[in-house]
Amino acid sequence: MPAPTTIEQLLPPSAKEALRHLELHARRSVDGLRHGVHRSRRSGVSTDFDHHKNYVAGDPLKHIDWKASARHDRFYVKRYVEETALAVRLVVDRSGSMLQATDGVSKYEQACRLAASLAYLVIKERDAAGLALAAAREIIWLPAGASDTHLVRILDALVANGAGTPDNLSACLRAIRERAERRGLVVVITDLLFDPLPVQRELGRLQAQGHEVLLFQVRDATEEEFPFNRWAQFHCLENPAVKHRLDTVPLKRIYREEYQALLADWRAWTKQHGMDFVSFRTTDRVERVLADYLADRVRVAR
Amino acid sequence: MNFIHPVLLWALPFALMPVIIYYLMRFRSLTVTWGANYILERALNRLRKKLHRDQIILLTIRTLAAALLVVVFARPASSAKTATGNGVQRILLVDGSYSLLAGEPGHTRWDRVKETLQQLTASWPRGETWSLCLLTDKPTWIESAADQIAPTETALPLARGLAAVRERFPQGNYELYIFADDQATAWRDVAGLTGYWINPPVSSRANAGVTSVAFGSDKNLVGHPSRLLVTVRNFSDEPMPAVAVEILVDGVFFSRESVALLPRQERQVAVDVTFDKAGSHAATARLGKDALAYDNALSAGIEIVERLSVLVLRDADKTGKFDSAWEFLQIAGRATDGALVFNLGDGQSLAGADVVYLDGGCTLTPVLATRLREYVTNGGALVLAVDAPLNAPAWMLPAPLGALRREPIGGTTFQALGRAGLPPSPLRAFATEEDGDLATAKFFTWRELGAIPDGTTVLATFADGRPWLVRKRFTPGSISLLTAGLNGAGNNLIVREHFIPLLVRLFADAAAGTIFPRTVAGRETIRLRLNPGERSVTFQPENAAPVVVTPQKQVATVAGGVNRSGLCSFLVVRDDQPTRVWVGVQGERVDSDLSPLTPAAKDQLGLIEVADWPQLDEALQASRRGGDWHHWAMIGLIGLLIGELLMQRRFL
Repeated sequence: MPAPTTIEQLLPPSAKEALRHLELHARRSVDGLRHGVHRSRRSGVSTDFDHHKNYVAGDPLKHIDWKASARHDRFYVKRYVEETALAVRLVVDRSGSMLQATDGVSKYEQACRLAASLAYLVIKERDAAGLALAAAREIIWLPAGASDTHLVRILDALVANGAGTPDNLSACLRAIRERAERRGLVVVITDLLFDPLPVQRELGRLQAQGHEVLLFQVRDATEEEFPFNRWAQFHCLENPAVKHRLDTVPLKRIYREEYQALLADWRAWTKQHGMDFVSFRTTDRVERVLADYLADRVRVAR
Repeated sequence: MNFIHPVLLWALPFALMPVIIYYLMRFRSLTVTWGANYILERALNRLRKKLHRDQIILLTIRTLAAALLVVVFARPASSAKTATGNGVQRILLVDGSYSLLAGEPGHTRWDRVKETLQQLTASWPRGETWSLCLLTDKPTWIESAADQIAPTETALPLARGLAAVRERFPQGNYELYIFADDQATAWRDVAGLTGYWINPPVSSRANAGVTSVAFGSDKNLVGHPSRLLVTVRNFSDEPMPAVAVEILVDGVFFSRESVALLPRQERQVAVDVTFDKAGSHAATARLGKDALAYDNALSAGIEIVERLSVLVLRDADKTGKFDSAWEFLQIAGRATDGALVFNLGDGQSLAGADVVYLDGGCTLTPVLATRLREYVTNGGALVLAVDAPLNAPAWMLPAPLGALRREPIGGTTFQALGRAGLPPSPLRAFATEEDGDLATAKFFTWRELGAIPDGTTVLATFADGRPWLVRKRFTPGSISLLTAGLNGAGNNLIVREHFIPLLVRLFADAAAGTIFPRTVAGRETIRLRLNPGERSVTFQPENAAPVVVTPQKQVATVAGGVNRSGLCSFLVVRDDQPTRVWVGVQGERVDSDLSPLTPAAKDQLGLIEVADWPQLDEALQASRRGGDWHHWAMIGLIGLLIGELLMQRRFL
């Protein structure tokens, strides 16, 4: 799987074809500006009845429920749930650890592919998709948009910005939260190889703001399996100054245990907070990962 | 602790290989760019202290395992069972007796002993100390040139050798290696030892030996038979039906006799050798091949002269039976065809006489006694006949005189006429039926003798055992005493041809006192003296400077004599020409009995008996295997390997 250098490589037609029949629906009510297909907390124009309210002067007469008013001898006005468009904010971890690659495919590349696919999926449904590339020094930010040109901008941003900075995901999430944007879906694509507490704190706050949080973890086979049997000098991808010369044999079991413990910790935490957590390897095809996840999502929603 | 293969301990530095590999692997570590640094550090935080400790434990285990592996291959042995090294002295006791020469030439026990000795010492690492003691009659500690040791004609004094070891190493911290055969005689009074006994096997123990070879007299006349007596002994417990005895005279084959010997039996073979030439001659008796070769030959020398001059001292006024005696001697002299020349004299001059004959017909004045003493001191031979009153001083009498008896004695054969230290030598002329009246010779006047003193030898006896002829040898010179004189009055002797050998023998043997004995015992001190007419006598002892007797130094002594049986010779330079005088050296056959120790006696020794180097090597290794160290080392190694596996398992 060659590294994407153009948007066509990032989102090839085959991927579009695979994603064509998939839809992403928000589980929670969202708060979009534009009319859409996703349920909103606001009352508005739609076919979905919500509740009755007493008529007050100034209410449009066309909304009076005459049958209910006749039964109760007073005027009632029908209220409807407003359906609005979904705003999806894609947060991609740009930290150096995302550059870890096995068989030439890095976690960042797969994260970008997944983000591109999600953006395509969202914008295809006329929902809005925004992008935040989390990095230490700067956060590349693209506001949510629903046009095809916006999709192109998102893809361009993904292609143009590589990883390689120290981890700063929690700051990025905090920035999203502080922007106090309308409720939507926050999709975080990361490898989760950092201290989980700050990120979990920010994710919890985002959810408390009403956002639905979806967490994708990209795993690298080498990182997961730690397939070393000799002395090795590990150069940290995020901080070149950090080096460890180790005999990997006595470390192997402990490392694997720690890796799985971290993974289990995240699974437990997301489950506890009602977040979706999807973990996949760089060797997995993102279209397949996405299809499986959306199928699960629909099944759970029923 | 000792090691069977200590040279392998040089591989101990290889035990550091795990440490070297550790640092080598560390140096050659793989470089990895790593994203999951957070996980790595979490794992390291959890493991860091333990990892360092485990690394040290693993390295220690591996180093110890490698060292233990080397130790296992070096075969550790407990020092309790094999007291070698660590200040323990190894003592090699080597049997230096001739019995070690048993076996085929080139494959004797001695050859095997030397081979095993060399292999044993070569098996010890350089720097090991050991002591070698050659067990001869006097145990000798060999300080150098251990490869040049050789057996000597001696019996193995093993008990003395062990005493020497105890004396030299009183602390008892030594390991014994005894290289000796299993002669029962050698191991007498020895038991309860600890060590190794290298006892090379021998195919046969049937051993016969020549125990003595002797001429009847060291001096004889040309043309007169000299009786050569060869004594052969069967030292084994097996009968020997036909032992071939070969006689060589002056190195030339003379005759061969066959003797049947029962176990442990000793028999004599008598051969008459007649020399037709004056001078020094030698005869050798040798046996065929048997288990032990060294005791199969002995030699004896003899001096042959043309004539013997006998001076008969006689007073003019003494007649009667003394006239008879003179006539008797004259007849006898004529019967020897002039070989025995009898002259009458009054004692005024004794020069030129080989033998002086003195009987009652001569008054022994003090002056004559002084002359005779001088004569004997200078090597002269004096023959006394004491069947008549003779006022002889005490120095002149080989034995104290008893009463003069006038009654018949004899009537049967004389028993012996031999010499001291050699077996009796019966005269054949008196021993057979054909000897006629000599077999029934009777003496009517004779003298009793007192107790025979030391230094006096009884050469011939009457049938009842009373002495007829005794002799005392001086250095030089001799005095012979006849208890009944040679005459036709006091006995029934008649001068016949059968009597001639006795007469020749009597005077020749007496005259032999003037020459150095032609047969000496082994290691008998030899005293050399210059005789009239000799300018020098030279003798070359074995491995020693020559001993020379010259007119300036008339007498010399070879202390210790010759320590090996065989022929030795003196070079005598006379005015006319030098001659070689042959002397037979006859050591005692103290080491010919190859009878082995009984199994019970072997058990009592307490030694580990081996035949050769492979067996000794095996016994040494078996002994060292007996120690627990090897097993403990193996268990330790296995334990370390299990520890390594457990440590590794923790990482998986």
